[in-house]
Amino acid sequence: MTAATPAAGRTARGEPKLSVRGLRLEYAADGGRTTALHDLDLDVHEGEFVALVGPSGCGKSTLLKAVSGLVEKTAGSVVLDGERLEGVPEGVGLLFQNDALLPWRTAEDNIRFPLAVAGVAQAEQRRRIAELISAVGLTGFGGHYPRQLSGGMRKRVALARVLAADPGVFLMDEPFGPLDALTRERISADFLALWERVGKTVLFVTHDIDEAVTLADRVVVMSARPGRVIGEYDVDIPRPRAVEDVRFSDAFRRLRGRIARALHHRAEPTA
Amino acid sequence: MTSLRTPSERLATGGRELAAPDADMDDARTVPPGRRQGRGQGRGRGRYGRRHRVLLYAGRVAVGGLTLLLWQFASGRWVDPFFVSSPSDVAARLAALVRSGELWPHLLTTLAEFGAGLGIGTAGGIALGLAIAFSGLVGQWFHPYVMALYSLPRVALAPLFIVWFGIGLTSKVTMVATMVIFAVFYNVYEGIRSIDPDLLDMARAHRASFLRTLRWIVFPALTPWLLTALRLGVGLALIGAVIAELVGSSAGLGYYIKNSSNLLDITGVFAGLAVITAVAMTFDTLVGALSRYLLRYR
Repeated sequence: MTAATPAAGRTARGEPKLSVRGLRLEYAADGGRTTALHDLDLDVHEGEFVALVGPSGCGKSTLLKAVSGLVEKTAGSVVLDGERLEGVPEGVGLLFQNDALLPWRTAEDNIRFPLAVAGVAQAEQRRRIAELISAVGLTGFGGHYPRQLSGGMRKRVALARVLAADPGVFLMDEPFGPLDALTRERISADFLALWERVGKTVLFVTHDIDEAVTLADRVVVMSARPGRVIGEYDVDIPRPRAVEDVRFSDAFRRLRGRIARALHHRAEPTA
Repeated sequence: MTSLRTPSERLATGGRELAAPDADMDDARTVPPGRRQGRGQGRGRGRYGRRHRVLLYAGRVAVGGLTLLLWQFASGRWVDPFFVSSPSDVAARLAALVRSGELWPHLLTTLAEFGAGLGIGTAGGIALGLAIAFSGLVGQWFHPYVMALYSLPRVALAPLFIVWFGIGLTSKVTMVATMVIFAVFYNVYEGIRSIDPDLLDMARAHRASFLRTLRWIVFPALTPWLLTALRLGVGLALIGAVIAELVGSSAGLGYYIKNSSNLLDITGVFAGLAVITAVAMTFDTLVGALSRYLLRYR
């Protein structure tokens, strides 16, 4: 991947991988109707890493659930690879905010789940699981139950499970949020290295501007509820990036400041 | 928190549930009773070790032994043995019942009623729980009536079952199943409602079939609830079997107790009670061992 301006690269790539148009999401609450997302438009291109930042409760997570078909859209469309999505689509992998690991299954068997669903043969399952376990740095822990693993290791299991499904698009819902700072930095670095190698399309939700700028090609800023896009920022920091150093560069600080100002000035609730 | 979703929290469109955006990370969800128990036992084993276990069991044996000694001592001194018999008389009677072989038909009859009723009640309760929990609105039509039957003192149905099914095995099995089914239903239903919605969403996001979701998520999540239900069920099933035998029967431990009571043979009543207690304790221990095996992932 080159350090050329992502905006130019995007137009060259043509049709977006994932395209959200006029997405609206309402649900009934306390006798009235609450709008979680309001006419939201968003494009993510093949191989692009897009971070979505916004204040708590702006509907970032809901957006991911709508894209992955777990909640129903009130209006609008989601198009993946030129096809309009209805229900739960194939080729979309969702990494949950809290790992969503099965506590009664070992790490290996948790990673096995998508393979079993896909009907992969036993021998092939074992081979893939061993591969994934080593890819996410969990060698030797395959037989452990989630309870016996640290928060960071559970994240790695969840990540391996999404990788096992081999989706074209990764949807990640504040995946590293609950970890302590040190673990978080380490797992972010590992994930970034993994991603820079495989180059999958990622839509990454976070409320942490630093994390967004560190990881993404493009940062999309959302307003407070009802959520809509209020700004987009290309991240012109060359790859591969070193997670622990990126934040000391001038480019990082300038961008971080611009995004923070956008969030604070325009993301206030209008109520 | 997860079990308290109201219909108003559901999405207006299509009735699918909208998980709260930015849901908190708290793990403190509704904890089934079995889980608390399992954890406590696990900790106890680890923390206190062997010396604690010796003290624990020695103390238990002492409490039981002293109670029997007090009973033995009181009988004939403070209280007329005609009314309270005595441990030695009861032991002698049990030995006689075993030697003459009179015990076995009664014990086997009660065990057959207990086993068949517990099996049918458990299977029925699981089926009913799954049906009501996963059938959406239709299930909600039936739910209040099932709960009404649950709160009915079902012991009062025993005479009805005798009229309908006679004094043989059928009426007893029906009684036992009726006792068990609601306890199992209630635990299954609550267990399903308390499943982490993220796990079910995870299965849906991977496009897993309903059967695979049952096998990988619903049944494992229900295991502690089912074990609790089974533990309750063992007690309820014995109550059901003995009550039904007291109301009308020609064999079984309840019949033996009733017959002894009619003959003012208090030693016989206590001998019957002792056997029932032994059966209950045996099955409770078995369920406990099964719990520790099935929930070892904790």
